Amino acid sequence: MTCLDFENRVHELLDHRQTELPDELSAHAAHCAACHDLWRDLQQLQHAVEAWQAVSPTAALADAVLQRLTVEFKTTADTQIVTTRPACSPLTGFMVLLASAAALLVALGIGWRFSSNATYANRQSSSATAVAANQPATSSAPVTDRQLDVLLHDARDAYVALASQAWQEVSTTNMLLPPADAATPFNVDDPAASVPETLSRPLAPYGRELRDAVDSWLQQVFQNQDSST
Amino acid sequence: MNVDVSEVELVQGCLAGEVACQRQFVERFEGMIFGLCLRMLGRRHDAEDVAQEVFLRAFRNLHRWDRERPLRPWLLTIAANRCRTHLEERGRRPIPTDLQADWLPERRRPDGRDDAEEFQQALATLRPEYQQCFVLFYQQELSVQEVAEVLDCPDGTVKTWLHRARKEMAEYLRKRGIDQD
Repeated sequence: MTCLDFENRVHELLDHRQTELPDELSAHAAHCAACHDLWRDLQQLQHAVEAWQAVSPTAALADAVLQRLTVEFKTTADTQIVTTRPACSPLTGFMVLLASAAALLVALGIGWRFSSNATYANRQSSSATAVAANQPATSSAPVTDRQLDVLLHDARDAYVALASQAWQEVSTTNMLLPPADAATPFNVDDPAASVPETLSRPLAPYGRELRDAVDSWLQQVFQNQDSST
Repeated sequence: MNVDVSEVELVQGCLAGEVACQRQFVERFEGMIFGLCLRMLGRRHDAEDVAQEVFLRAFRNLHRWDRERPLRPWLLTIAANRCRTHLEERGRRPIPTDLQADWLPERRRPDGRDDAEEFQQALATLRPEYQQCFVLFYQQELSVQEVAEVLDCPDGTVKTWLHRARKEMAEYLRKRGIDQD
């Protein structure tokens, strides 16, 4: 047995809290001064450890811990209450704002969609034929309900605009035209001879026909609008 | 609450916020925790402060304790970590003379030295990991495996640290003449 073996064996014994040397190790220590001194030092250390006095804290340790524990839990609860609102970070606020805006847009879109469907649902069937007739048949893509609503909107606006413009034209013209039963006040063969200055020269020869045509056209427009609305 | 309640029941009471259980918890383990802190830090005032921190941390993390394992090594792990952190914060500076071993008894040898003081001084000369290993093994009477679990290192490392701690401590005490009595 070497001295290194002796040292390792001794420490293994001490690791298992054994304080007696086996015969093999005792025999080695008996004729090896270094190992004998090592074993003596370790025994002295063992005695010092056994004399290690137990220490105890002050009696107030438990009170101090419980007091700090109470303060900590109270502070934690207060902090949680206080920090409920500031806990919202700028990013969170922005996300909330964005979500609110998105929700508002969706709500508006849904509302507009239902409104459009309710307003133009009846017109789709009656005006579909007229719209289809007015639309060029160049596009082979299917027309969606949404596109059809837009087209109906545009058609309605166009009809109203045309009717308004035509009505203004007719009103102006009626002011210039003579009564229907009145005799022609001028000589058609020689229009420049006796045409009053208040009459429009270009329209004068066609007063009755023009008025009848405009009336007929307006009646058709208004009938279409009544049926659509 | 029964005095001899098991650790699990004690922990459940603490988690439920029962002050009696919390007090019993502290009183049951304060000697162990304070002893480790005092041996590691060498000053009673520091040891009490760190012991309080250990218990507060234990209460904060009590819900994480594995009920299948004993409570004592778990608490010692917290205490060892807190002591190590305290020593690092202290910068491993030597303890001022006037503050050294203020917990030691008044019984002194004729030459003015005290065995316990010498022993504590010998312990203070060790590296922190050797100190922890030595204190856990001898004062807390943990096995090598339990020390390894507390310090979160292999058994072989604990054995090596323990062997070196013993050797350095024995040599220091021999040089200081402790073995002459």
